[in-house]
Amino acid sequence: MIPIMYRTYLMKPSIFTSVCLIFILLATLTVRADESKFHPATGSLDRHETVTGNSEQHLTTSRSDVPKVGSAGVPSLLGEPSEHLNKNHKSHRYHVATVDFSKVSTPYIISLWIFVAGLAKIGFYVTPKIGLICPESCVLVVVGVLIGLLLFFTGLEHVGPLTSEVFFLYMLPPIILDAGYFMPNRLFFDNMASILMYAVVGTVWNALTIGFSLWGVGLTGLYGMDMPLLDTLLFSSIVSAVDPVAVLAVFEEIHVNEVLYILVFGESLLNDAVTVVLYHIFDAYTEMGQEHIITIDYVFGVLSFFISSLGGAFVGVLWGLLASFLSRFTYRVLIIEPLFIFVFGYLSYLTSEIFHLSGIVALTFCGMTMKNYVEENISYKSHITLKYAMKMLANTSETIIFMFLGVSTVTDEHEWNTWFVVMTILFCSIYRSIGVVIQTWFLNYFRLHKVNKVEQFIMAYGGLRGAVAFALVLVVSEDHIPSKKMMVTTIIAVVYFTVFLQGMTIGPLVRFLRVPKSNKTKPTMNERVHTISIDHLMAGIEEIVGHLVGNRHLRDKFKYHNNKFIRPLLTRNHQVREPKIFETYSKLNLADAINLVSQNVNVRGKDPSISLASLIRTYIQNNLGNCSDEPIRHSDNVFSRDELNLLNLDISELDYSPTYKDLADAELHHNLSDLMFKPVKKTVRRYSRDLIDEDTPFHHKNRMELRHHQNQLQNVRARNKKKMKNDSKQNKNTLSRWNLLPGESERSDKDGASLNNSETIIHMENLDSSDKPAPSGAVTFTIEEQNHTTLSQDISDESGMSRNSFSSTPLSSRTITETTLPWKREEDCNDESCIRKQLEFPSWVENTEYNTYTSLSSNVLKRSNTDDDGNDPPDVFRLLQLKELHEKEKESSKNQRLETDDKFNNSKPHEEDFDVTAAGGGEVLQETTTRDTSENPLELRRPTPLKTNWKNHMSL
Amino acid sequence: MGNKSSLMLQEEEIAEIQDETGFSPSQIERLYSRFTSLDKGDNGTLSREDFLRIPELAINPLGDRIVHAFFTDAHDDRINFRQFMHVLSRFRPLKKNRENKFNSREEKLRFAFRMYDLDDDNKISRDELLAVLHMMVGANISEEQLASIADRTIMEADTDGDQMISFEEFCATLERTDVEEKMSIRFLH
Repeated sequence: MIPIMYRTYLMKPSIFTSVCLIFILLATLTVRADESKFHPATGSLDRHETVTGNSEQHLTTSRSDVPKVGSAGVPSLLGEPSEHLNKNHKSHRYHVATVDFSKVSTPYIISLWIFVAGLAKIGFYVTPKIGLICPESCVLVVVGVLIGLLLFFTGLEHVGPLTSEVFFLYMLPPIILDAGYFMPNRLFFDNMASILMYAVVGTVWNALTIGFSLWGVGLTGLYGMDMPLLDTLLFSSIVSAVDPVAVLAVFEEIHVNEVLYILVFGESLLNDAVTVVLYHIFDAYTEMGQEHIITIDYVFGVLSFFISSLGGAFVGVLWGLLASFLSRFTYRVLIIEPLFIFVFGYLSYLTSEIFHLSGIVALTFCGMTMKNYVEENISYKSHITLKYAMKMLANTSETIIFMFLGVSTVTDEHEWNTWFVVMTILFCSIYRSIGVVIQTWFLNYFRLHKVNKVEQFIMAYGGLRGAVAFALVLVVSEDHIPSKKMMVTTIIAVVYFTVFLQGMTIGPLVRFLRVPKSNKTKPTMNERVHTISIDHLMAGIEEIVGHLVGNRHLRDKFKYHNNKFIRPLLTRNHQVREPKIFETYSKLNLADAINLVSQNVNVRGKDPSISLASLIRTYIQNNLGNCSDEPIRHSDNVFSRDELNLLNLDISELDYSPTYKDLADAELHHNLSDLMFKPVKKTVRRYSRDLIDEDTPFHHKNRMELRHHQNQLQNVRARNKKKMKNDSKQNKNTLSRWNLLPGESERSDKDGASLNNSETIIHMENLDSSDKPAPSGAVTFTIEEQNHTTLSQDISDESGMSRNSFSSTPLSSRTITETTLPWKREEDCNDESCIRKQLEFPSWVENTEYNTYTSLSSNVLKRSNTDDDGNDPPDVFRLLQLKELHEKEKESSKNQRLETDDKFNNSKPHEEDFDVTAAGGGEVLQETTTRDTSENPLELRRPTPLKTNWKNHMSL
Repeated sequence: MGNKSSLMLQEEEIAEIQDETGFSPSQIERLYSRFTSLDKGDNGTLSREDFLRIPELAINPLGDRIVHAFFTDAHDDRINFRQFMHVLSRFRPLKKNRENKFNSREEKLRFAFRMYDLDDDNKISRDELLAVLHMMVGANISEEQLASIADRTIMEADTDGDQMISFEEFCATLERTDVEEKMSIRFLH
């Protein structure tokens, strides 16, 4: 079997494999070159210690030598002075190049192992068909064996890298953290009782029955050696535990239904507590010797089980809560946000190991606790990072574990005892099957989801043993148990048997027996909402029935207290009681949006300045009220595009509050564009009111042009008036704020264009001046650099020219300028430091410079534009736009906006630019419309897209 | 208590209820004792207040709705034991090879549907959905967010374009969900 697999493995990517081999050789050579040195992975001094030396010593040396790991370079440092002295006597020459492998040997060899493991993993996925034959874990073990053979024949067989210390301290935690963090909590707690039953009763049952049976068989003298009862019990407690790593590796590939998966996997995680306790009990007993054990020891043994498991869970939850609490504050240091999760998980593991509690249980519970709260606190990017980093670490560890398992196999320390091995495997299989059947029979009486025969079989069959058992058996001291070597060999045999035989056949068996597979799909909105309501319903019914059956009322109670007490403490945004609903909503919308975008790229839309968001909003305003007007088409998918357009694509846009970074980015961008701007002398533009300027939609530069124009006028006037107060180095690039505030400007007029140090605003009153002519000075410019030079400038009545030029539209105080500049708003211009409550969309959503390249909405637009080969698609876009135009016309006619002075035609293009964007930018349009319709404009400052506005609109 | 209540329950009545609902006699007796313990006034019927006296039901966001659903078949504002049992029989686990009258998938779903459908027009309107969402999500959430969620939910389920979720559409959306299991209670024997 193995050679065949190996051949398939070698066949296709021969180049790849040869590269692999070269590197493995290289690794071997480096190890060999450093043979006399300390070997990091084993943590032991290799050369003088004979391989046959007992492992107990091996381990103790490894412990005592651990400090030397880090100090690989220290001896050279310490030793060097004397050498230097010697050298000084001879000749002191500077070496051009030196080889000092010892300095880096530890990390170097670790990296090499990881590298080789990575190669092996790539090899598995590069090679076609191999995944069908056997699971990844098998291949990795085989590769490990090959490397082991290589090391063996190069005389390096004692480089057994898998020690229990390395395994338990460094390799296991990432896997368990990953498992705990991504554990489906709900499923886990739904099946908690069953899992605990399998994990506790099942493991104890297995340990005892296997132990006694092996001992019983040993009495017949079959093994040819003496096996005391305690030894077999110690052995059986090691071998009885199902291994989480192996189970994960196999079960993630076969995709059985969730319940079955969680039963086996949960068992494998939680039985660690039992195994650890049993192991310690029997280890202590063997140390004490059978005759010295008194009853109190048994009582303490049972007690220690509870302490170990419950204590582990307690420690885990505690650290988890602490991590959650801290994650409330990490949003200021986003970059290290994911780190906390890892550190706290690891700390929980180590903490529980200090007290001999079950580290695996602690880490599992820590992960499960953290996830609930941390996910709500951390940013999306951190979430992604966390997910990937965790998966990567877990995957790497898993790969290395299996490979090391293979490597460790190849030693000449083995003591093969056929009968013992056979009996162990036999008893393992038999008693696990019996245990599962009995327990399931018992549990099915209480379970709603009955575990049927087939699932029971898979559960029994999926009881894989793995590296945990191997690492545990390595710790056994040979002083107390002389048959240790035989035990190691047997464990390896059992592991191979389960990983290879059962691991390879379980996939086909699952298919053959038609075990219900998992159909994991993202929940739809309906499923999510209805499931939650059903949960509440069932919890209520359970309360009414009043039986203490079912855990739904418990969950409901927990949810209630969680929302009331725990979440306010641990999460930043705890108003939402059902974050899942929002999560699903965002996810679905994101998926839809990505789907839309992926179907259309390259095509440029007609007018990218019109964002989809504004389209949707106006569309909803116009149409949602009377849906009968717009028959909604339906395609095969749940969502046709039309429907989708009705929706807001991103829920967070509704409650957008920019971070400091966003604000800073926007400001930086504007500053840069301002600085880079080169004014064009005078652009002659054709002008037509009804035409939407397709070539140059509103652009940041238009604003600049406008300002440039303004500036010129201003300069002229300034020259005439010469009424500068301060030094008139008006560097327009320092205009960092720009806002239109009619009331404000009046005020500042009265103040005599006072200097506001706190505010940096340019008041451009003239846009409004047709409505209410300013009393004395029409335009007031207050140009300030923050806390630096302040210069203000009064422009007197001569500015009538500019005033008129802008007076054609009685735009509301919210103009395009305002929407362009995100940092300045009327309501909070007094308070610059606070994060602004945004309107429905970030204002620069309308700005093409931001959305041309990356914006989702503009892409969506492109698609809707060029739909159906451009044959006048009856798409929403066009409909919307027509409506908008119509709207605009109505507006304009109403406001008699054509009253423009012919003299100032040259300024009209700019003006028109404003209008185009006003039509496009939903916000502006909306603002103008709602302003006209409602009495209280301020109330409508915050557009409520679905309700208020369209109602207002309809009333129009 | 158990003995006393079973005395109050006539043999033939148990048989009838067993026949109608499929509960076993011991289950019926057990539930009857629960019924009487809820019935504070000892008048053989339960009022809404009796239900809402259960503390956990008071904190259940849908508590009112659940209680309300018990009274859909009631003529006045009280239900007797038999009506009580009829409602509960919906939540018996499904048996594959037996006729399931009350506890069929459809009946279960209809009960869940009733959580939304207050005006009994067999349709969930946008407002009805919003109301339930409000109860579940809490009051601190902005109207717009909830509204867009409600819109999306309706849009997703609504196949006939009436901006409502009919019962058939409701069932269709939950096709993948294991309602039989989710909406069953393991009644003790």
